[in-house]
Amino acid sequence: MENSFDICIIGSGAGAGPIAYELSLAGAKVVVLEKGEHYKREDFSKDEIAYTKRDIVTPSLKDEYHTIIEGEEIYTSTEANWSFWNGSLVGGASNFMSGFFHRLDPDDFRLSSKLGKIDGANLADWPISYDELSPFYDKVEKIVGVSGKDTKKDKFPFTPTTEHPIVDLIDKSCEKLGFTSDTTPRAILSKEKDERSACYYSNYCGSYGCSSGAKGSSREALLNPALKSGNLTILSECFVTKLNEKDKQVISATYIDKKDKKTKTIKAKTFVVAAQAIESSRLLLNSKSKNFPNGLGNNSGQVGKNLLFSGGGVVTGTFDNDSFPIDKLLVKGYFVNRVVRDFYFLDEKTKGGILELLFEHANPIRKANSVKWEEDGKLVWGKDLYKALHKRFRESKKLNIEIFNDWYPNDRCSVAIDEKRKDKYGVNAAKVDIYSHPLNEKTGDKLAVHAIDLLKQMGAKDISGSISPYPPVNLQAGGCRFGDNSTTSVLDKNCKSHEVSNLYVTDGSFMPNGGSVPYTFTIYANSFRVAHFLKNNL
Amino acid sequence: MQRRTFILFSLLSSYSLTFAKENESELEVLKVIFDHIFPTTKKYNGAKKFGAFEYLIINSKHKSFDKSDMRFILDGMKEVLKLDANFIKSSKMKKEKTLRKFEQTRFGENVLSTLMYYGFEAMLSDPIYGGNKNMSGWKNIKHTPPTPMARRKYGK
Repeated sequence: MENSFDICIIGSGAGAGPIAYELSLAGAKVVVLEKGEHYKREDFSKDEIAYTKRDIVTPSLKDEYHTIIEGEEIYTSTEANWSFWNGSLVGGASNFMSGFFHRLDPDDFRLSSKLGKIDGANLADWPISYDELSPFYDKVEKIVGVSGKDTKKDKFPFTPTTEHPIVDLIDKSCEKLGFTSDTTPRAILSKEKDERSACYYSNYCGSYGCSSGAKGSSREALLNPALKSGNLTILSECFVTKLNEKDKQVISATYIDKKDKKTKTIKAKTFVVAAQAIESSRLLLNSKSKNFPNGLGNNSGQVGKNLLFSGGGVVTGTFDNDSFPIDKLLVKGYFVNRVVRDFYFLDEKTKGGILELLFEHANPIRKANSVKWEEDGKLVWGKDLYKALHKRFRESKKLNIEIFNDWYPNDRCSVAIDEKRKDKYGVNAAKVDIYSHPLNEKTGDKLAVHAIDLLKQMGAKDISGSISPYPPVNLQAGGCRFGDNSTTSVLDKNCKSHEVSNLYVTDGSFMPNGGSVPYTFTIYANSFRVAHFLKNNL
Repeated sequence: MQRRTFILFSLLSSYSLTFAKENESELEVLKVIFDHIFPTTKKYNGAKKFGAFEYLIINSKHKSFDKSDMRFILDGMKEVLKLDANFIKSSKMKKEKTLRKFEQTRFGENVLSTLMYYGFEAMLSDPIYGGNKNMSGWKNIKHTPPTPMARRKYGK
């Protein structure tokens, strides 16, 4: 079966939603091909087994794995039980985000100029400035919905979500240390918007789909309103395996319809790839043709290069009645909503990052499993286990400080195609080199010192942390960086392929560097920017 | 095989019944170890009450369950029987001694850790999966049932 559309979008997450929303409302015929199922709001529940313990909304690693390169070692993600999948369903990983929506700093757009040459890092200034992206950040705040506290600099369309009483202790401790305790802008509605209800503080947010529609997932905030236009078609459970090219234009997408297991094609005038960074590069690299023997739009050899994750880690402290009244401490569901951004730059030539504060997720199975070891390494069971559970659940609470800092792009961290290994559909697997530039960890270590100071000032016990060179699997960007030079970048400033005239990539792949914040807000904003360009150039 | 265990397996499938017959002794040991690790006390509902064994058997048949975990646990039960052939009927004190001895090996420690993990799943997962009977596991830790609870097993 062949259909024809104005725009065909591969993927349905943060990079896809704004294109689908803007173009379908503008009257274009848009189709979204999503590999996963179409969950609706009422399908989600706070089921720890389904959403955090099993491969339900992500592919099974046995069926679909990645080849990992770690130094000299090459292994499959199955062997390491390490999954780079983050949400195979309509709306993608945005369904499960925590929704920290920080803007990039203006200097992130010119980091190469600002920091100068850094050995082993491929920094490049962006082909656009902060001022060019800023109106689209504003647009995301209004359309997707961001709650935050107004400042002289920033105004938010929604007031902050309700905050946990511990914010008073955080604010006072920051003041004593000379830190600035800012309110975290969140893509979670504090009051209803259109057909989306306000947050009801379920206590299960990050890693879970939202049951009120308050979380600004691509599905809730953009695809659902776009469907009402009558111009958007969402084909779920359709896995795009190849983009077919003729005369340096994409003419169709080949996909496997998982429902009837048939291979089909779909035609469109313009193709937008937004399948999350690793998958987007994989699709282009697997789409070989006579004009592009190394993969679609890859005669430059740049597709898959300069892959980004996020540097940093987490520092944790335990609070109990000694440091905070237990009845207030055990209040559930409300957000901590505090971030320290004082260390975004450590000095004029050194990049730092942010400290984001949050309570550990509710997940009782995970929490219970964490108490089964005694300090001497023996397993604890029987009455002693029950005492440990009581202490963990009824007498204390852990506060995490998540550290986000730059993942410096480099020659090794990249996506390629594994020519030998295929997934269950017969498509070559992605081969991911996870090399981390030494500065990633070094910067994280410096920030961890500030995080520890803050937890100590707050009176936390058992402070521990982990700054790791390993990539966080849910924070992916790069691989198809944008730039003015077609020999060193894949996309032009409008995220159109330098080499294929109707091909765009609008997930985080375009980013030459990711900044020291989670990427989703910037992906949304940039996708709105590309949508604006497409609307004017269809 | 105990009657309740037999009924549990017969409710699953003929394959499960074959599995149960082939692993009869190991499954009985598993059940006893769950009860030893998660005993019922005045304040806590133990493995029998929240349904640890039933949970593991039922859910180990789902496609998303890591089948190698079940094999690993049952291999571990074989080792326990090597340490004490009468483990099921041994005194509580002897069971404790045997399990602590088993724990001293890397294999034993990993088996017991895996088994405990599934015990926590049984205690604290949504009751729709067959454990946490009458929310008895959640009551153990005074956990407020989440909203919404699962309407279907394994997502959509």
